[in-house]
Amino acid sequence: MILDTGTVDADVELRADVCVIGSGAGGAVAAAELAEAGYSVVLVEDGPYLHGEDFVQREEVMYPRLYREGGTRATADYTVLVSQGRAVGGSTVVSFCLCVRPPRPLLGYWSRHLGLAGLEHEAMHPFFRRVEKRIGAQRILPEQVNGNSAKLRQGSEKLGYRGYIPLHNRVDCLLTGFCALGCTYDRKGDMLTTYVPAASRAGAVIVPDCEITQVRTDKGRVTGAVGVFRRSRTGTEHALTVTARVVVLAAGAINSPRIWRQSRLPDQADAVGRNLRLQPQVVVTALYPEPVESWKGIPQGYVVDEFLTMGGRSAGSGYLLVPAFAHPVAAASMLPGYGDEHRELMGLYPRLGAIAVLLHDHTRGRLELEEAGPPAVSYRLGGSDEDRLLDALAKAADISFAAGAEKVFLPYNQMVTITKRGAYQPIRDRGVRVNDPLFLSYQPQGTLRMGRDRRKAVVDPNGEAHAVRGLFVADASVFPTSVAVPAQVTVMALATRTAQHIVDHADRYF
Amino acid sequence: MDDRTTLEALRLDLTRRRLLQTGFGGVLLLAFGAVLPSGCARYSPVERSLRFLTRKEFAVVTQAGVRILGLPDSARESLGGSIDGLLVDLPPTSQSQARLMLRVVEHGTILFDLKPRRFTRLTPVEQDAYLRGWMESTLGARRVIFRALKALAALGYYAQTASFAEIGYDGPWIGRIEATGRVAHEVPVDLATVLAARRAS
Repeated sequence: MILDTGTVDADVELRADVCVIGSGAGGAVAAAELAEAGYSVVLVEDGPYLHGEDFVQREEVMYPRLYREGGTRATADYTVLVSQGRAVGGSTVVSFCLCVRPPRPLLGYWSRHLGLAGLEHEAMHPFFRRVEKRIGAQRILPEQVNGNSAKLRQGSEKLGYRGYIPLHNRVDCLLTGFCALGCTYDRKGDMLTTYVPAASRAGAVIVPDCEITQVRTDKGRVTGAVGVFRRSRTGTEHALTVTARVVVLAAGAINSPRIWRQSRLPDQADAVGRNLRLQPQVVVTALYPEPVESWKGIPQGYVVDEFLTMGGRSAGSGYLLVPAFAHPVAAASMLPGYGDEHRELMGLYPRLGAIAVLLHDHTRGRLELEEAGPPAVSYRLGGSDEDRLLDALAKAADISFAAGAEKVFLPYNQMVTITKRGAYQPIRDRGVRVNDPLFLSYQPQGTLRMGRDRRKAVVDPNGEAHAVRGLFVADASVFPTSVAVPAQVTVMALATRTAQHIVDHADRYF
Repeated sequence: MDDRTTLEALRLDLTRRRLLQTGFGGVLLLAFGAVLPSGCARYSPVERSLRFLTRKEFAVVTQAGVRILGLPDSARESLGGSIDGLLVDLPPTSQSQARLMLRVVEHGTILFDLKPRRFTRLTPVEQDAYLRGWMESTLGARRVIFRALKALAALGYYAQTASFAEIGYDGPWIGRIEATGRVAHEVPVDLATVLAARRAS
């Protein structure tokens, strides 16, 4: 049952076996799995319940409605724009549907070197399979690769770089390309069309527009959560209290630590809000002689993983290259240049293509958590990451030229144009400085990290808090390192595993 | 480029703490912004009725917008109206910071270019030089404000349907294709009704 909370006119108290906070890739999965196992579940989401034609395919309408802090969340120095969905279904509603499992050696490293037994590929495989089946992950067809993705494929194949057509969680896609604004036609296998309705069918109560402010505990055990309804049409503010023996915190790698801190939960390892990885992205734009119409079709239909280096004794390093593009408002705000040169570039919109660099970062940022208000996100790219990033810009430019680009535009404020393959010195000359280039992050992670040792980690390898019985974390906060790839299926698989752990050890909790 | 990036367009949440973290430039701008005048007496009336922007702010944001995006002066009116409509829906904190940003841009001529005239009194050529100074500044805080201004202008202009044709963008598909949702979404149950029923039972 999904509730319309707009008419709430009194404080509300609910009682359930499990309270899940957040309805994105982690929370919706945990809620559905637990409800289907027979437990009563309350799933609380601070964003609205939107679907179908609520997604009007207009940037100016959907960005403020669908993105956290109206889309304005950024690191403290504004170098990285941190973009997260805020709606029933979380960031999966605005995702590009890429389903990429973490590299097998990375899971091996987590398992063998970070003490996370059970997270190795062989053990995780059934969870990934289960998730991929439920969200309809399948390899997109070659004819579904859009113009921009085809350019990435063409250029990288010409240069001999390894790449592939990835799995996507979409069904009968109409190729309209408005994925980042929510799918009007429900063709995504996002949480909104899969796990959230499954949870509801299994009896879960879904509470949108309600912000959880505190997790409650008593003598080292979780007892529930308290929140406030945010969109009351009655003009009054009312509280929600959920009494539950298990709480699953899945509000994302920025909000979950915030709730943790606001709740004054223990932080024995001094790790809450630390170890932040952002997997920052930058975008290199190319001008092709013919129209590419990059905004149409499936936005990310090809992945180049040639430059992701994985070793068994480290978390690896490098970056993925994926296609990226935007509708006009986003394009105009991101494209470099000033005045006439900017307008001229916008006039070439149909001939532009773009490649995003997704950095497997080693930089560790942190959240400055306060009692009230959103946390400040501190993150400044470290030296080795900066070097890799500059290398990646040159590689993306190279691939673009190999695909036939006439010019390449670097992601700085000023118009920095490369007109000749190999002439990449401007990249080294400019380097990286505050807010120039602007980085994007869709995958914050690591801020409530998982580990066996309670002196170093916040949650154990099953996702349960070391210091609070019955409190679980099921979002990207638990990753011990950057996961190197788009995070959604990893979050879903880990949430499935956490739910199974709760079910398998029910006598401890219920 | 990526769609979601644009949210930068609304990225006006220049909180005190964040500005300070952009370094000395942030401190300078913050101190400067606090003492700037906010009156509108010297600004021309605006044709349309404004819901958020003052005449002064309208002048600053539209003059800066057309210079940054390379638009004709005739685009100012619709650009300003569009931005006004966007800002009116922002949270109060963001609104006050937007006002601060526009004030700093208007009067920063004195601080950064040592010009006795405010931004809206400069010639277009002088405005270009001044705004490019923000874009290329060595002070991170000035680049941040330039980006916010550019993003706001982009949102104000390129969200307008009238701008689509000039860049070859075909716009939303709603109404252009015969397609319906694949899923029968659940109709939410009114919470007040649920609670009333519970109380009754």
